[in-house]
Amino acid sequence: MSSPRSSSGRGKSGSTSTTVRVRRDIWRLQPTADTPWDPIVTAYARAVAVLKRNQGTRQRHWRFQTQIHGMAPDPGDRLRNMCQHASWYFLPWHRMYLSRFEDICRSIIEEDPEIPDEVKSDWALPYWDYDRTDSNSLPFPFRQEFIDGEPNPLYEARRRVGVNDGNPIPDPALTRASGWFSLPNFSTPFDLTPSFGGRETDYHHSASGTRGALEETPHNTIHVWVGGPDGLMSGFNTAAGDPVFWLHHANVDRLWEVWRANTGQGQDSTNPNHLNKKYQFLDRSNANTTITPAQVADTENDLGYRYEDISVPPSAGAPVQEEFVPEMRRRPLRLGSSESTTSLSGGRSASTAVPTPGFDENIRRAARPHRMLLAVEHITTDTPLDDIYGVYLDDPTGGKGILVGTMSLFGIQESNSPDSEHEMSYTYDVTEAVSKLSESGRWDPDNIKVSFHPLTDPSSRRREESAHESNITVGTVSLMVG
Amino acid sequence: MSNSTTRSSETFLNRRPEWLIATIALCSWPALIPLLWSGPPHGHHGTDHHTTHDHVSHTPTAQAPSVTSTAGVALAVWVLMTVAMMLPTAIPAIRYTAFATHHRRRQRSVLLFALGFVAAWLPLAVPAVAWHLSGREPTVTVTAVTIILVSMWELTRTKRRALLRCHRTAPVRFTGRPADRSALAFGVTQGMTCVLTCGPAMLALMILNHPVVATILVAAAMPAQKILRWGIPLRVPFAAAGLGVAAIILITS
Repeated sequence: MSSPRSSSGRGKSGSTSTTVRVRRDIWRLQPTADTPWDPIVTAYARAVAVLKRNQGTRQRHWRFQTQIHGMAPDPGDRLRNMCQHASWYFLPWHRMYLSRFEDICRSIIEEDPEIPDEVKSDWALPYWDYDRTDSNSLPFPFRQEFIDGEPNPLYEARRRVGVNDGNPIPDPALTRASGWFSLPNFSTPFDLTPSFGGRETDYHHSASGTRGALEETPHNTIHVWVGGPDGLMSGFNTAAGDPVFWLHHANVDRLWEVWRANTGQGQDSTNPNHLNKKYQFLDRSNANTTITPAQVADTENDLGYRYEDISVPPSAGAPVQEEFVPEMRRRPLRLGSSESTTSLSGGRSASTAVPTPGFDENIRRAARPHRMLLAVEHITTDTPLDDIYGVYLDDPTGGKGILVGTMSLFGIQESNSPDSEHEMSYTYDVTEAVSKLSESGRWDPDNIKVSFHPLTDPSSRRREESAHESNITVGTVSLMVG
Repeated sequence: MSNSTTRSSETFLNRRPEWLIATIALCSWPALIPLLWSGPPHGHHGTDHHTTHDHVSHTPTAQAPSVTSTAGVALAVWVLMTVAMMLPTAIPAIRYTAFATHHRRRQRSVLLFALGFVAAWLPLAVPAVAWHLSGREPTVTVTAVTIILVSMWELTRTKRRALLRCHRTAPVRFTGRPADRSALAFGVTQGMTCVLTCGPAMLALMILNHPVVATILVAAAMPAQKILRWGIPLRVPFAAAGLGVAAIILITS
């Protein structure tokens, strides 16, 4: 689905133009290495170059924009160190953040005499759709260290080994839409319960707790895949310092619109605690403004932009069966859990048994309809991360297990810090996986095993020879019914 | 009772696995109150040395309570205080323990958690009992300094981090001996964290001989800080109130 570059419409809060701008796919703007840079991309690079000079009022400082996401120590100004994660505020907060950044870039672009007027009038941030085989590597404009002999503002050396060389994302599991597309609930009041957008929390500048499905894949997985163990994208306090961060989040924002147009129709949060939460951002004139999620719910009317393509991704899988749309609003019932911790070290696979004594009795106790959930809790690490893991429900007959989700551990260090309220945990909806095993006669409640296999390429691991092996501990793996 | 009422009650209790601990905590108060606030003004516990001495002088045949029994009563007071005032603050952790466990053994895990929790508080009983055995009455200065120190503790990073840790969980296993061990261990961990958050306030109550208002305030304030969503920022007004009270005590003395 392709749209004209812009169309008429009204933009309200945060928008300085009545034109509805179109955020376009960077890979369609720049499909090959030989393609001349599209003017939209050039404009973005020039705006980033100005921001990176860190001159003028602070909304135009690259450092300030990075610090809005995260910084240490907390400055206490309610402007910086504010990113919301593992929370129902994750999506609206990042939408606010992006729209302010985009408008500030636009203000720079408008002043640039080198940029054509037609680009100035409707420039919008591009997005990076990495969920296709022709776009699952870092976009070309971000790979080149120099452009015409000058440093490329979009280049960043601190990325995972191989990313700047154009290595593709090693496994489609890191970007697939099937984990979030069919979830009908935007949020959940319960921990260890899946949702599209995240758990109902208060202000939550933390990675701890259970995150929404979209936040984990592809948001977290791409952060860790691009950043690697010591890159900018892998840390809360540095992620926004990589110019590709903004295109990545534009895509995450776009996927929210994909969900809203399909499974999420009519599922926007109506909870005043969510809608009226106030956040502060500096606008293009350096004024301190307050925005709420209610004011960014509609991208066209509230913020003056829309996406070039919000069609359903092929990786979304089969549509939700209409006769079964669970509420996911009751506490899940635990059916069994692992009896010891599981250690993942050096990028090696590991597995754990999940005994479920009294499975049939416990299933009968659970209210219908059933969703089977797999919870992975009490995750800690003492080293920077090298690997993104896939979580598999094993086939007890020895066949290949079924991938139920990814475990990127983005933010693990923040969640393990003394100032963090909860540990990191993951919850996967394994209903379909259990159904598949049941239908083929391979489901055995007395023999449930969960495995963790790395999805990242070993050759992309850390550069230093003497680096310690990553060591991850998973405290609990549980099967639950919700 | 009709079947539907029975089922409703069962459902209610199943959804509130903390009911047993909450009941035990509530029932601890009738036992605790006489120990805290009965007896002559200079001997809250009825075992104060002066009271004991006077009692001996008027009834020569009466035997003075031994140090052991006095210490025993003081220890009992401490344990009852922990159960009545501190265990309720661990209700979120108790619920986690219960729901992490097979439904047939939930209360077993919960009780083991409570045992570990109370055990973690025992080391702090040593200074508490020692103060009690000393028979000292808090002077105005001691009272004011104690309140100031407790108030300042509220504002420390250690207290804040301990409050955050109160919300953390640990692996609690589903059945069998692993479930027993892990529930007990989680109780100990939570108890130790609780000592950091609430220990100074509890010690202060022992030092100040359990003023009624202060005891009730601590019993309300500590759960509020730990359980309410906006509980952590409550440290600041509590600290301010404490410093205000200390100032009034010093000014009016």
